[in-house]
Amino acid sequence: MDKTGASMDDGVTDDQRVEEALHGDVDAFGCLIKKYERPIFNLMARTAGGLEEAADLSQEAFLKAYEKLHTYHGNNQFFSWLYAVSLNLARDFLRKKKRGAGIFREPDGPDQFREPQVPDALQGDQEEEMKHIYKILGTLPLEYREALILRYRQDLPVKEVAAGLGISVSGAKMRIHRGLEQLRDKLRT
Amino acid sequence: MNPFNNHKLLPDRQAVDALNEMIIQGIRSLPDISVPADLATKIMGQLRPRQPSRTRRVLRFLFRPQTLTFTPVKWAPALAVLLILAAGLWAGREPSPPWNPLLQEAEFNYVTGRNFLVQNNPDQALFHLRRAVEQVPDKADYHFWLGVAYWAGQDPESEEASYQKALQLDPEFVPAHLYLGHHYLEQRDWQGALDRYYRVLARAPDQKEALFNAALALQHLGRVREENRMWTAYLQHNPSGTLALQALNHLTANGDLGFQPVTLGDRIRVAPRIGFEKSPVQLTPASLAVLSEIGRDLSVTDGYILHIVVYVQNDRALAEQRAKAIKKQILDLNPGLSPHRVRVSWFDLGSTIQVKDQTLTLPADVRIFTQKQPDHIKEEIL
Repeated sequence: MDKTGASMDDGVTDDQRVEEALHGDVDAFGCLIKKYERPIFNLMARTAGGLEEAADLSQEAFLKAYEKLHTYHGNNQFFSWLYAVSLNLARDFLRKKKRGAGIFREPDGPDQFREPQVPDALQGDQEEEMKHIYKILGTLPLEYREALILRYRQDLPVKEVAAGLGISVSGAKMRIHRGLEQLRDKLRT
Repeated sequence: MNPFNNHKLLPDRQAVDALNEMIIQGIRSLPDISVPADLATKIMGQLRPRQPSRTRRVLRFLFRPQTLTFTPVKWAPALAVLLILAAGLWAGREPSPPWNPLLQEAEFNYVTGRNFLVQNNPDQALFHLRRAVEQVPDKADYHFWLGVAYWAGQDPESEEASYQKALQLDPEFVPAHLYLGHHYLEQRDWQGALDRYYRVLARAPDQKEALFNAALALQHLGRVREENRMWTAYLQHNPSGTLALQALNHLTANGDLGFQPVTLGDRIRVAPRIGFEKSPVQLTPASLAVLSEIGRDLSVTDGYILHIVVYVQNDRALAEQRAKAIKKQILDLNPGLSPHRVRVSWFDLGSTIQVKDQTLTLPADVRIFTQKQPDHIKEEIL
């Protein structure tokens, strides 16, 4: 990810796109969707397990971000802000899914307690550790898992990880530390 | 064999560092799951241009790119007016709100409590949310989330009391109505739940949980016609996903055959059954909308052929006419779609549907599904 938030093609920053979108330019927001749909969709896929639900949640996340765009003030990267919005939706989804077990869904319905989805690219000849890490990552609580993803997969500085998770910098450091600790424990067993 | 166990051979600190390094490298090189090709298009289709606020319009006007030539004599009067105005604004400004440490601490407890809820730790969540409510007792949001924490801790009486308190503070607080509905549904108080869901739907007519659960409550109350209307409303707003299929099953079991599953690639959506107007080949407006959407989805889903099967009992010629009319409509509505990807067939038989343990025969019907496109088949059927 480009840490300056500048787009690869025309040097326009995310903040400029946000400004344009706030002035009614929907296409400017479209550029932000294209730029960040991959990490947001993957966040939702890790959360929901099913690709269809992930697509629905991603849509919801971008629509919510668009609706709340005026609350983005550029203190942190746009991506961190977008991630925080999306993570709130992911949390709500998990909460509703748990609550919905008795109401929304038939008992033992098909998407109860699914195994985390492993990307196709990992199904073949990838190294065993990678598959192992992916699966175990999926069993970590959302807050620890996403702290690790933001820090190491998205390569964000801790300050931005904190913004993405909606917590303090020391809280983010703690999440990363404990996330690694939990992964180590799980990998050793 | 677990590849990570090798690190047990190293001294403790070194082993931890080595394992961390391997984990970090592993996370860095994890491949992503591919994003559906039409995701951005679908989102863009739902966006409407924002109206910039008046302040933003003024700011943009003031700070638009321009070349200025500054002539002090010319600008002096304007500058003086601005300074006077600024002085006036400064003198008459609202005093900033006093720093309230209790409010800050309550907010911290509230956020922490919600985080513990996410981590499935209701005890800790309750501790913090109770503190938040004690510190600032007049926030409906705090009481609502305390109710959710009581639910997670399986204390239904306190759960209900918290939602009621939230509603006392803010009678329009929709989430509290909704969750009170869930609470009553779990307590098998069907009428209580229904009343709450109706209140939610009066404020948010497409709220999916309220629609789905209201239908469930109506089912338990034996009010079949209202129940079917509720499932139909749910499906109109939420045509795909597990719950849509469940809604379809409930409707079908009640004898309402107005909807059917449509398989498009890996996705199943529930759509109104294709129907015709008085003229035997004139499609209803609802059917035209369904065909338009199916064609659009097919245009962005490569590698699939759409099959349309038309049934008209004892009338093969009409079945053929209808099949050709449907194909024409889909292609007319989606000019970019290749005719090779839409195939039709027709039968002078009725179609059969399984309803509970009965098999029903519909004298006229249209079934729609997709099939993976074999690479070697390119010919056109019609």
